[in-house]
Parts: sequence; C-alpha cells; structure tokens
Amino acid sequence: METESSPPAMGQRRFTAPGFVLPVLALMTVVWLSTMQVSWAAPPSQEEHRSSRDADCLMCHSDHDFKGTLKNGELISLYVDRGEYGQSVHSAAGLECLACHTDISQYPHREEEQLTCVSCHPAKGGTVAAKETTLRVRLIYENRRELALSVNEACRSCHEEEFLVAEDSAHVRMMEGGNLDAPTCIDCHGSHGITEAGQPRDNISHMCGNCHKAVYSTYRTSVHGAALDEESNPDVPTCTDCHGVHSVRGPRDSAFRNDSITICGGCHANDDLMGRYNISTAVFQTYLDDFHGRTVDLFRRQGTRTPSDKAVCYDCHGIHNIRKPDDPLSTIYPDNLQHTCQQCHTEASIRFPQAWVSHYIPSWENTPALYAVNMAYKFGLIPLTMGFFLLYIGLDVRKRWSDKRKKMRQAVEAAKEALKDDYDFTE
Amino acid sequence: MTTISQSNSAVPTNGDMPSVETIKKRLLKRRIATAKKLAARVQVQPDGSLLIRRFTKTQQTEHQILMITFFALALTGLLQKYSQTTAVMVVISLFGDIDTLRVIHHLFAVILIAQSVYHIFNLLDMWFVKAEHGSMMPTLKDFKDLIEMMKFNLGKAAHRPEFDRYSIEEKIEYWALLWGTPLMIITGIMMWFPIQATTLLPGDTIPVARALHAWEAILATLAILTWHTYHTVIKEKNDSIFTGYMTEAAMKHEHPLEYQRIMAAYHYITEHAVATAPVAQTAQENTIKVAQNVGKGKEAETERTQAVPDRS
Repeated sequence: METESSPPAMGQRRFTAPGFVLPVLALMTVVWLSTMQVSWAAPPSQEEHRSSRDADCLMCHSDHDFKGTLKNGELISLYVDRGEYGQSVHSAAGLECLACHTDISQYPHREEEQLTCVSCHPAKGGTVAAKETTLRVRLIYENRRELALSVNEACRSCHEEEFLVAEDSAHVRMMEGGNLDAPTCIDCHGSHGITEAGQPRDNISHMCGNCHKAVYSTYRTSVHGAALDEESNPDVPTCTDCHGVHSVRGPRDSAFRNDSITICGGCHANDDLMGRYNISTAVFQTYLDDFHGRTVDLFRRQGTRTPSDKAVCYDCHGIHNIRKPDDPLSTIYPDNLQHTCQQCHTEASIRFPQAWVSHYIPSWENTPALYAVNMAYKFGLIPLTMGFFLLYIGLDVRKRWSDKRKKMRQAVEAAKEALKDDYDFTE
Repeated sequence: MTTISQSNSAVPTNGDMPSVETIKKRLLKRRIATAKKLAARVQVQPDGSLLIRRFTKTQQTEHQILMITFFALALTGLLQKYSQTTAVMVVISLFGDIDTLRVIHHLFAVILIAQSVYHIFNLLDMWFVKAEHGSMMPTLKDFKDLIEMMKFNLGKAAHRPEFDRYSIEEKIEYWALLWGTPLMIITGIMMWFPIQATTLLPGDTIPVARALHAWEAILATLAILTWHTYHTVIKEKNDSIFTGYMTEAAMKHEHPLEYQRIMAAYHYITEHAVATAPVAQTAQENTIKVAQNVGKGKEAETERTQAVPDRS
C-alpha cells in the first residue's frame, strides 16, 4: 500500500521544489552528519538503546528514597533494584522497562503526579539548584493492589497462551467475581525479579502456601510434601502437578473429581517412576477393575459433568495429608480404615473394609478364595462346560449333516436309477 | 388326582383298615383322574391332525418372564463388566450412565427374585402337597440317554434314545438354571447390600461374590447362547414354549415316552373307559362323568386350538 501511494507524492514534490534547493539541502545534510559523533558503520545496538531508555527511568527509580503516595495515603517505595532486574529472565530476554509498564509514555508520567522541575530542583534565588529534595509523587492508584493489577495486563502481550489457559481457572474467576486479592501473574511469578518458572521446584508450594496456609501446612507433613521439602525430591507432586499451573481448577469443579484419578494414575501407573520407590503400579488398574474405579472412570471417559459419588483415590488416601499406608496417621492404616469407609458408608462395620482387596491383583497368597474362584471358573467350569456343550452340539450337527448328505445321495441314486434307460452323455 | 376329602368320603367297612375293594376303587379313581389330565392335553385339529399341549399358560408365562429378565440382566450386567472398552462405553451412554444401568439391573433382579420365589413355592407344593415326583428330577436314565445320544450321533448306536417329558438336553438346561439363579441372586444381593452383608459375613466374601457373579454371568450367557439356542432354535425350531403346543409328529420324535402315555390315556378315556369299566356302580358312574367331562373339555379345547396357528 505504501509503495503504491509514495510515487505520486514524490512526483508532486519534484514538480514544486525549485532546482537549487536540493543541492543545498544535500550539502547541509553532509555538514550536519559530520558534526555528529555517530559512526555509520556502528549504529546504536538494541542493547545500548534499551539501556539508554532504561537509564532514563532509573534516573529517578534507582533512588532508594523515591516514594509515592497512594490515594489511600499509604507511602510506597518506587525504587527499582537494578541488580534484581538484571538477574531476571526478562532482562536476559532484552525487555526494557516500557515493555511491561506500557502506560508510561512521558515524563512526568501523569499530570496527577504533580511533578514539576522544582519538585527536585527547587528554585533558589532565581537559579536552579542541584537535586536535593527527596522525590515524592502522588500516585493515581487507590492502593498497592490497584497499582500491581495495572501492570498485570501487560503480561498478556507476550504470554497470551497462558492467559487463555487461565481464563477458566479458579483464580481468574475469583478476580472476575470482584475479589481483587485473587492471585494474578505477578503474585506467583514476582515482578522485577522474575526467574524461570517453577524453579526451584519447592518454591511452588511455598508460593501457593502464601495464601493456602492450612493446606500447605498439611501438605508439608504428607509423604509427597515431606519428600519435596526435606529431600527436594524431583518426583513427588507439588501443588501445580495436581491442580494445574495456569488452569488451576477448584477441587469442587465437577470435572476435577472424575479426572482426579488420572492425576494420581499419571504417576502411580508409571513403572519407571514407581520402580524407584518400589511402589506397585497395579494400584491404578486394580482400582479401575473394582466397583468405585469402574464407575468413576466411566464418568470420566463419558465426559459426564456430574461428579461421581463413588470413591476416588483421595477419598480413601486423603488429599493433602496422603501418607504411606504403614504410617499410623494414614487414613488407610488398618486401624483407621473403618472410619475412612464410614465417610461414605456410614453404617460400615469393622468387617466392611475387608470387602476391598487392597489394590492386590488376586493371588493365592493374598486372596485365596477370590483366586480360587477365578481359577475354578477360568480353567475349570467354563472350559469344561462349554467344551462339553460344544462337543455334544458338534456331534449332533455332524450327524444331521451326514444324514442329510446320505438322503441326498440316495435321491441322486434313485434319480439315476430312473434315468438309467435314457442316454447319458457324461464322460 | 383325588383330593383328600374325596378319599375320606369312602367309609372303610372293616374297622380302620379299608377293604381291598375300597382301595381298588380309590386306585381306579386316581388312575382315571391322571388319564383324564393326560388326555385333556390332546387337541384334535379341524383337519383331524393332533396337537399336544406341552406347557400350561403359567409355565409359558414363567418362561417368557425369565427370558426377558435373563436378557435384560445379562445385557445390563455384562455392559458393566466390560465398561472399560470404548464400544461398551458408547452403549452405556445410550442408557445414560453406569448408575442408571445399575438401577435397571436391580429392577430386573427384583423380578427374577420374585419369580424364583414363586418357582420354589411351586416346587414345594408339588413335592409336599401334591406328592408328585417332578419330571425334572435327575434319573439314571438321563445319564444313559446322554451317552446314548452321543453314541447315536457318532453312528455307534442304532437307535436314538427315547425321551420322556423332558429330554436330557432340557434337563441340563434346567439344572444349570437351578444352579445359576440362586448363585446369582445371593452374590447379587451381597453386592447390592455390602454393608448389611458384612454384618453377617466376613468382608472378603464380597469380592468373592463379585467374582462369582461375573464368572457365572459369563457361563450362563454362553450356555444360553450355545446349548439352549441350539436345542430349541437351531437344531429344529421348537416354539412349543410360545404356542403351548407341539405337533403329534414332533412329540413322537422328541418325547416318545410321554407321547405314548398321553395317547394311551387319550384312547383309554375316549374309547374304552366307559364301555369296559369293570368296576362297581359308583366308580362306573364316575367314569361316565369323567368321560363326559373330557368330551366337554375337548370341545372347548378345540375352539381354543383354532386360534393357534397351523403348525404343520
């Protein structure tokens, strides 16, 4: 479009400009360029350009005493730690201040800030003095949170995908519901010092624990949380492994319950992962083979929005308080089982927990009666009964066919006999 | 069969001990009653051919209910068992979800249980009130028949074994049902009410019940699809359970012993009983009445049989 529209514009200028103007302009340009300290061979690099723009910002924002007053009267520091930012992934990616602070376009930023030259350089006897007062600005934000949220939208310009994923998340819904304290990007990732996501790993649970304090303190004592906190174990799940990262779904979300079995199954059915800890991977399949798992899995695969009322992993094993089965505090420790079952089966007797075969694949050692029944039917009753039935039927079919053939043969013979005086051209 | 009141009405002449004559009378009465019952099963068609009543209306209804409940239970049950495959999941989706399927399964289970209770009461009535033996009882002949039939089919025996009211093939089907249904009902109830079941039984009986229920379901379904279907539909179409009747030819072939008994009774009642009854006056009168009743019954039955489609 531009290339099409430019030629007529150029032509116009050629016709109106007097002939001597162009050489004069060219001469002036050469003189002007020669006075500049810029070499044609080395234009300012992007890095330098950014630094120079950031340097502009830091003229004020590197001042430890630079503070602003929020509308609610709170005085907050506007100091930016250059070193902290230098360590961040955004600095490494070459982002300048304005990349995120998109609402800043001039200096002073806003009229409301009531910042003038004399704010720093008070006029003294008609001359401009050197900067000597502490800088104070009036901020247009009601409170700290409003200021933080004003920057948040800038993340979208690069991280659109994460925003889309987060759209249905419990946190975003909370925010949309009007709760401004709902966590947003910077609450988890930080602001100037943003490091690589999820590193170090135990940061994640600490971060979530900032708000979810009770859950975090329970989680720390669980088999997963303790391994993460004490051994920095890379295999155990932290908050985001079960709840998702940006898509954090509320556990009361209808699909969460039905899908939860694949969250646990994702690791507990993984031979490599479980092999390291000598944990059976049969737990998942045996769950799916039984009444509860059968139902929940079908709900999940059907995409049913209704959460199944049958037990999922965490109903028995606990949610954030999952412990090893031999831990007396575990919900599935033998002494605690009846109580655990009674959460749903309120009338469950002391014998009731035995109705569950404890994730064992039926074997002669663990479940002799069950194993015997399986073997008796699989290798005895069914093959023998069906074998006999099919043999008996087979003999009957064979007899009927041979009778039929015999009858047919007799009929052919009879027909041949009747035609024996007639001419026969066969052979 | 003579009722108790009837036999009591014949006053013994010799103290407590009835006379030979009285016993003879009673026996004859009994025989005639049995013969009358058997003969009533013969229906003369307008074209002169005979149809023989094989099942009573109640027996037919019992079978039809059982047939429907069996298939409904097998379908809704096996769908649950194999719900892990995608194809089955799609079928389950037609019902809604697996919980709906369970409700349907339980519904038909209740019908089956009610029917089984009825059947057991019928058996008790037959054994202890009517004092009959029951034609489904296993006999030595059944096992001989089974071997003989296989020998015959192999060409090693000259004659097909002759069956009575129920062939060994039918008896095996019934015995399988008699073994399978209580097993399915007990294990099914245990799974339906695990809390109550474990107040009486050890907890690990529940998974055993579940395994038994599933395996027996497979066995029963396979048995119905092979044994029962082959002998009633594939081999030769035998729809007597739906029509209630069997043709004379089919009867002669499938149940020759019963056929002979029925025909003997039929001829005895219709031709000889009245004329040749060598009995006392009262018994003779009785016989005439019986014969008249049979005649009446026959007319009524003939009307009924016209509604039955011609099976020749």
